[in-house]
Amino acid sequence: MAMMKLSKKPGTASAGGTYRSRRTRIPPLSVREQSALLCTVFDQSPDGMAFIDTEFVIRAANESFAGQVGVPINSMVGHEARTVFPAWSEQAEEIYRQVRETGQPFRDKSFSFVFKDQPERGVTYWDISVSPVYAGEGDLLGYICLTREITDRRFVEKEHRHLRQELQNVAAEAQERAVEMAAIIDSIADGVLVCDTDGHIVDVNQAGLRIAGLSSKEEAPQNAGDLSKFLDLCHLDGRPLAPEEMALSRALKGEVVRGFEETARDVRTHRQLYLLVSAAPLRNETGHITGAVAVISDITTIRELDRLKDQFLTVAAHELKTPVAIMKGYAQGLLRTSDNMMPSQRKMLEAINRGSDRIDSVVEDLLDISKLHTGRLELAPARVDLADLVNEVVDRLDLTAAEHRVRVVRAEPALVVADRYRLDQVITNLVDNAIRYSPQGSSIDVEAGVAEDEAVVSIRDYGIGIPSGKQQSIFERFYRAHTGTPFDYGGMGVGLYICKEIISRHGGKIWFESEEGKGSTFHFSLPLQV
Amino acid sequence: MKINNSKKVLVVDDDQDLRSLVALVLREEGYKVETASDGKEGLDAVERSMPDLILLDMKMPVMDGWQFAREFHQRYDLRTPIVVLTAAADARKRAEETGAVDWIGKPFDIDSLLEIVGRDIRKARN
Repeated sequence: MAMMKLSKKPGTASAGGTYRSRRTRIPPLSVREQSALLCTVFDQSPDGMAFIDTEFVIRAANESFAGQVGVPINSMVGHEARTVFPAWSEQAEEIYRQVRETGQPFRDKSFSFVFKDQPERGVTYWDISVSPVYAGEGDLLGYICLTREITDRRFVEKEHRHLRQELQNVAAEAQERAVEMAAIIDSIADGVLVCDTDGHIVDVNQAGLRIAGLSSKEEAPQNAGDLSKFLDLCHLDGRPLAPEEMALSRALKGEVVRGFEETARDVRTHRQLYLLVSAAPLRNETGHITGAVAVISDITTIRELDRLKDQFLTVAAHELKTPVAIMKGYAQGLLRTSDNMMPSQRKMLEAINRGSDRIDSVVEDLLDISKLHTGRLELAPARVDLADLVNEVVDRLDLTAAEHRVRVVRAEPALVVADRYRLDQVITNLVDNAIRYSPQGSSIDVEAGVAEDEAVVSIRDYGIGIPSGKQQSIFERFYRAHTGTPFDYGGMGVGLYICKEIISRHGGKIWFESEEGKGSTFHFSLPLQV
Repeated sequence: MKINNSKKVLVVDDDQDLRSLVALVLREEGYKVETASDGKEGLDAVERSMPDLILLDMKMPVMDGWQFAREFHQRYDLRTPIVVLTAAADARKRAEETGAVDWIGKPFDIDSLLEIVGRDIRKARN
């Protein structure tokens, strides 16, 4: 079997005509052929080769050498090196001398050289060797010089080293910045919490730990989602906050959360905390979410101060009411009992009575603001026909507004479910404003009815109107559009704020049209009772 | 002075000036008026003679309006109307809490005070 294989292979190969057995001997070259081959190798070698005799005359050089040194072969061969190469120096001759004396080749793998006649090449780098060539026994014929330019490689290496250094610098700087950043984040009074896409907590600053009552990061759960249970996070109304409702979890889904309020429990003291949390996704250059960061403010103290302020306001208002009741009561009492009073005295007592009413209405406004601000305004909803209510309020106000004509121009039945007292307050407020900011003798037109499936009340005046630049702010708390103008008739800047809040608590809307010098029309709408 | 069928009203309020004011106004209308400066004094006054109506302040030292109302309802005739006289913003709620028939917020108009007192005494009688 083995024999058959062996005999088969050459046969197959010879059929192809290209196969030559390893055992096939190449016929030996003749001396002439050998010499020609060596010449070809010499000429075509990619390395530079030159033969220099003991007198430093260049006897042979190949194309590569000529190319490398930038001198044509013809100008070199037969000439002395020092005439061919302007940079030929004592130093070069010293190398050759050394090679002659020691008989050892000279080798320098990173020989640097500047071609004075070719300054554009700059510093060139070479791997060179100079070896002695002997004829027979110790008779020095000359030197074979091998050259390979490695300037490009050197350049790449240098570039490489440079880049590596650069990288190290950048890394060092990044490290420095990271330390700096960590120090900054740690010195922020708000808690900062960073997690990756899996919700693992990557970083939390000192304030973050302090807010939660922790002393080290290790005490915190590893996953941000577990914080909701760990810190007993709840909505303001006391419902537990699910992990996916957390600002950080929402940020991981791409949402930017601003000013989310929640409560938490201090891990150590179990004290209830009020937190204000903002969170945003972290994205890489391509926009992919790589994590999320949350900033947590402890607003417990602020909430507590707010509560104390409201409590104080309630107590102060309460304390004011009894003396006002006494002033008002005695003024009225005197008016009732004295039959033979002079008209001027009667006017004084009436003024005391009105002044008392004004103090009371200011106190009521302050209480309302406090209640609206803290969400403690309680409504007593009942069925109310806005047409009735409008007629009632207008009848009352037309009596007191001696200088204006307050009239109902349209009153169609419009049933709503609302707190009658509070709606009365809204309409009264709007009509009072209309009277306050329109000229004596002008009309205030009030209407109630149904428009587009809603109950709508409108109050129109023909007064000074609201400058367009101030229109967007008039429903803000304590904003007074006419402050510092000749039309500043006083007030705390709370009426429209209270109106807006009351209407919005009823699920309604309030809006207006106004033109300076022509008047304003305020409207509010409420869902119809069906 | 107007004739007012000699009904008796007890005014329980810790503010002396307010007490005097209400007493003055009611006496002008012909009511008999007793006053007390806290809930405890109020109960003593009731003990001496039962009023036809009680005007009751809520926030008072010694014994407040809530406690007075509780004690009063436990000891005495439930038909005697109590009218809450309060500076609290949620006067209506206070009235419900104490089982009062009515409420008057401070400050008040004398006319409406008289109207409420007269109306509630009439209602209690029927």
